[in-house]
Amino acid sequence: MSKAILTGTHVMMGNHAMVEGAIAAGCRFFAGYPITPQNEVPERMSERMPEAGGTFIQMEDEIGSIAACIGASLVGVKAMTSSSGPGICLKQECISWAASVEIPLVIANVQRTGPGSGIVSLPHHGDMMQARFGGNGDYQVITIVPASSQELFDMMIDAFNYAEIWRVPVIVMSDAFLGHILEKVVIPSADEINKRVVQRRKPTIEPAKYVPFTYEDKGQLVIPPPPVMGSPYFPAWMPSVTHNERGIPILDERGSYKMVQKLCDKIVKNEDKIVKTESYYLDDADIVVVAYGLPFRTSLRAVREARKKGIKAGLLRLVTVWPFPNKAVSAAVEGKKAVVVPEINFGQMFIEIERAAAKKCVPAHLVPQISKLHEPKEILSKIEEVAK
Amino acid sequence: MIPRVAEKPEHPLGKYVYTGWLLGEPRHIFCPGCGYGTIAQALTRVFIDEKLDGKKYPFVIGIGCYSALPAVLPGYSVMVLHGRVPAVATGMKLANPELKPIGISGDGDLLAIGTSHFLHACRRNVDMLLILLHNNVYGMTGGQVAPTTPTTFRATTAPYGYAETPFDACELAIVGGATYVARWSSIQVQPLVTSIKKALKRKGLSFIEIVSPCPTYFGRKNKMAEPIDVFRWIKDKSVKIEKAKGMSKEELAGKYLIGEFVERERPELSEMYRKLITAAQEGK
Amino acid sequence: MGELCITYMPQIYVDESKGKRLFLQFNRCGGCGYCIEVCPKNTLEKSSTINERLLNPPTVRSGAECSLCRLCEYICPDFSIYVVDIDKAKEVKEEKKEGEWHL
Repeated sequence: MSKAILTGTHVMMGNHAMVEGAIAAGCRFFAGYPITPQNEVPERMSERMPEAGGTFIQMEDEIGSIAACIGASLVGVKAMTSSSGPGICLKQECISWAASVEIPLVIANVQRTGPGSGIVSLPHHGDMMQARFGGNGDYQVITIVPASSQELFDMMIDAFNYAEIWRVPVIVMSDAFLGHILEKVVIPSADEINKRVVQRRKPTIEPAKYVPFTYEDKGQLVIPPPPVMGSPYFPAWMPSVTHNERGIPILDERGSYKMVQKLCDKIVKNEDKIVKTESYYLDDADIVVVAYGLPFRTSLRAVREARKKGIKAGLLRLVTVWPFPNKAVSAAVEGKKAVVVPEINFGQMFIEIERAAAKKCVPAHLVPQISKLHEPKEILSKIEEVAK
Repeated sequence: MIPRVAEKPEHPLGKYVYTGWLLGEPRHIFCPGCGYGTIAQALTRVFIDEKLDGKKYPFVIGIGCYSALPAVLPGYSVMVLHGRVPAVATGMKLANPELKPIGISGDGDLLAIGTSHFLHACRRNVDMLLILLHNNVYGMTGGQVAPTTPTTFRATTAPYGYAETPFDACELAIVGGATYVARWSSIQVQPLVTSIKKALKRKGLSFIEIVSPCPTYFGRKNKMAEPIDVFRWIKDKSVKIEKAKGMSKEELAGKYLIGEFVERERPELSEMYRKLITAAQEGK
Repeated sequence: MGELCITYMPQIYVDESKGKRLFLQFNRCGGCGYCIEVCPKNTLEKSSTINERLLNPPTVRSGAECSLCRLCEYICPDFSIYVVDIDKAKEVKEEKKEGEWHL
């Protein structure tokens, strides 16, 4: 396995760092399809997966890619697929299926300008709401937004860990610029990485007592290890329709309410263990900037410039955007004068941030931009405007 | 579930299927006269005769009437989305080459929404058995036309008769590159059982098409309301391949050629991939 | 249609010399008639009694012989007609297999 982890200091583009992070996390199956701007991901995977002892396959379409990944996850192998906006649209039915059958899966979305075919090589965070609401039905996913090549490496390990612990599809958001920035990436030794990686859990009780899906035990939701086809720990019939915790289809209103409630509560009630945010200069701030992804780096510069000018500005960075960090955002905006939200779209996470801020009677302002990164002076001028 | 007491002794294969274990008697929800019960019995017979380990031969079931087939199947089954049976089976096989998935698909599942996955699985020669349940309609959704409905026949979305010509799934499989292609019908079970046993022993993509009666929709819409009428229609339309060689094109119009079309050897996908991994790990 | 039959015998034919019996699960039968069609000895015919599913199961023709070839067993979609060895037929009590789903 020495070829699996390339310990050392590298200069890597975001897409390559994502591949290295996935392989370091234990991903041994990748199925993809070419789409700009993520073509480097399948290209590097085709080179590195055989070295690591895993499987790479370029499937005939996006839907085939995610279906093959689900097949691999069902036999106990950590699997990943990646695509861009139009491809992620095609994968939605399978994401909904993976959520309902609680299959661990990682999907990388290297976003590009939309809607439609858009512009292939310019960024646009237009899939933030789609990550949460794209598939049919009510379910919850976890969505992580890194902002540098080093974070793309580290957060892929976090993404695979989330997928294993919570048994959900995890979506990692990148974009056309972040995927191609060449930055320093430090990859630690294999021992250090293996301490952080959560391996796929194996059931320890006897097969007759194994319950394949999340069940309630004394008021707590217990998430069992995922079923593995090829071992006795698999229900005799795993349906894709609404089912109970044993895998028996329950096709009435009580069964479906219970199943949807379990799938949503599993994530929402454990918000504290899943949500990650970072805060900068928030203690005495009057204006709060809430940002995620590459705009976070621009906002940090803008907030520091504002501080130099005497404006008390602070920054809350959302690392996980879904489940939405309600508590962190509420705590950050409470008692503040205004919230500024720079986004590379026409206001998607802004809807959630504005809602959370409105509960605390704080107005929120959007700084939209499409197909280009904000310049610090744009955010700075907005901060100055609302500070008056 | 309605509790019902069945008389003992039970069917000899009863205890090997899922409902036989769960409820004590094999029960399914198919219409009277549906060929799927016969096909489930044939698959169970293969498992028992060959003493197959259910863990090594997972069933991958698509969406259709046959989604309820696992009630009368042995072993382990996973239900996937409409049309994605070959893709999920490819992922399973590549991730764990010791398994041999048995994919069960219907007309619409394999030849409408899943044609692309079907052809690519044939091209890649993934080691699996792909079974097409051919009943000429979309049964579960109410008898709509399928890519296999014969021309001028009626269905719920073709009240004046079907204007299109159907696919020949075996021809598609041969062109795609499948290494064992056969067509049987559920009205003659012995050759079907032999063929499935053969397909499970060999390597590569084996494709078996099974023509089966649907009295509730295909039969009823085409003046064959009784199951026995559809049974006789299929028997009338079946022609053995050896016999067909001596018949003219007009005589063969609308007939189903029954038998083994192709049996050949080609490199199989997971074996090729393992060789690649070994070469890559030994250093480029 | 015929009268609704309340009592019925599951065994419909026995051949002591071969040591086998032919059984029919009367109420599970789907009345499709495939077993009647495939029988090479023309042993079966559709009965006039109806079962719980309001369909007509088969019955052995009066005076007909059954060679117990099991072609009807193979074709039956409802697992309803089958041949059982005579000694197996005596095992009426079968305990339900508890525990893991086998095979």
